[in-house]
Amino acid sequence: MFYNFNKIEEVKIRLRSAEGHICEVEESAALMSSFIRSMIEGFNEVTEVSLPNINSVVIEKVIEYMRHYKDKDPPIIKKPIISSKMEENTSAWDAGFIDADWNMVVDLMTAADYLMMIPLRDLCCAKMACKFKGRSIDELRAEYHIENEFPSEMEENLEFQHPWRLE
Amino acid sequence: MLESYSFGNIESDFLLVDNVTDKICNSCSHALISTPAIIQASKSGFSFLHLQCYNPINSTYIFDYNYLSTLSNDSDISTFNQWLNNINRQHPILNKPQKLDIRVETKLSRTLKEIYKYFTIEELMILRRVSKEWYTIFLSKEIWLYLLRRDYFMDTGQIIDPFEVYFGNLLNHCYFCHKSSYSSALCPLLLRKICKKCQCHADDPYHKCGLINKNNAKFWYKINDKWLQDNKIRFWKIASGEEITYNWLIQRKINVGKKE
Repeated sequence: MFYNFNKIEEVKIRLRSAEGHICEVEESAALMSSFIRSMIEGFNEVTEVSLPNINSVVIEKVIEYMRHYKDKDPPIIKKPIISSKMEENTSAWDAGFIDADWNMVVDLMTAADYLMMIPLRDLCCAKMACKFKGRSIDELRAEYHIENEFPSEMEENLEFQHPWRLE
Repeated sequence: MLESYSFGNIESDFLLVDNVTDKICNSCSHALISTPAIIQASKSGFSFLHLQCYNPINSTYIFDYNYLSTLSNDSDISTFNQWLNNINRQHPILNKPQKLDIRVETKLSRTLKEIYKYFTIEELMILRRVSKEWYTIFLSKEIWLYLLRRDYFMDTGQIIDPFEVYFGNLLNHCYFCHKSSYSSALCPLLLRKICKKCQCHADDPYHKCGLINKNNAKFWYKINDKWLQDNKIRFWKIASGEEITYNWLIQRKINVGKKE
């Protein structure tokens, strides 16, 4: 008797989003998340994991990342970052993957934190850092709607506190 | 009536709210007539109290999960709700969903702490001035322990005040290689120490500590005096009369200009 091993399908994990949608991902890819890994290892026959605080768009994005790095390690992003362009700090694929609007990056980071996927969380943090890099204080305040809470005399003190600064 | 409640492993601060008759209030010793009353369950048994006679054991906010109400009459429910609001109003700090607030704050500070790790100390000195919150997070011990490990390769297990240690290192270690050296000199441009080893590369403009004179800089980068002045590029006049600066200081400004 001959067995066709190619036909053996990999176990799929069903991820239930906040809206109740089901997204399927191969078990080997899903194991990248320590959260899912602990669920699978803790309860042997778990095939569905409920993620009530992650929406389906974000889950799809996370799955894309899981599938890409299923068989290889994600590149390590050097700290401190050398440029405000993501392509110069990490691989082209990572830079393209994280090239999303601010809200998406924040959601993705929250999801990565929840799913305990440190490489993805680091990628999101690096993207945010790139958005801050090279910006002046006024630009940052304007872009992220942050009020200037420092009294003017205190702001001057902060500016001239350290003589070795490079500004 | 009480037999109908299944208490199981009830906790001492769990309350039942029901219409109670034929019982005496454990606090004021007056009879309980058919009005909403508190039935306090504990391991030793039950105690019955008027709503007004009841005081929360630990003077805490009474959450929904702290009591079970079986009141059915609308007037009784409104009496009870009014009483509950009065009790909870006495604990204004806990009236807010305090746990949620802490979680939100932690999430933001957690995020910013992780983001801060991607910056150099010079960049952090700018970022801290954005707001008070950013400044507070900038001072957190976790950031400085991380920076010590990253920038000075230090074992941070025994360090009590990492902020102070970092600044000590910053002023005593070489600016470029971050190594401690006895034979270092203070750079008048950066106001930081440069070790002898790094000073050897000063003639190589492609090296990270390479210097460039003003004329070469103008010729190479096709910039003029006005550009240098606008971008606050500092020069140092050496004995031969030449004005020199670090090549990377100019490159950095040019890159910022390109981005804009």
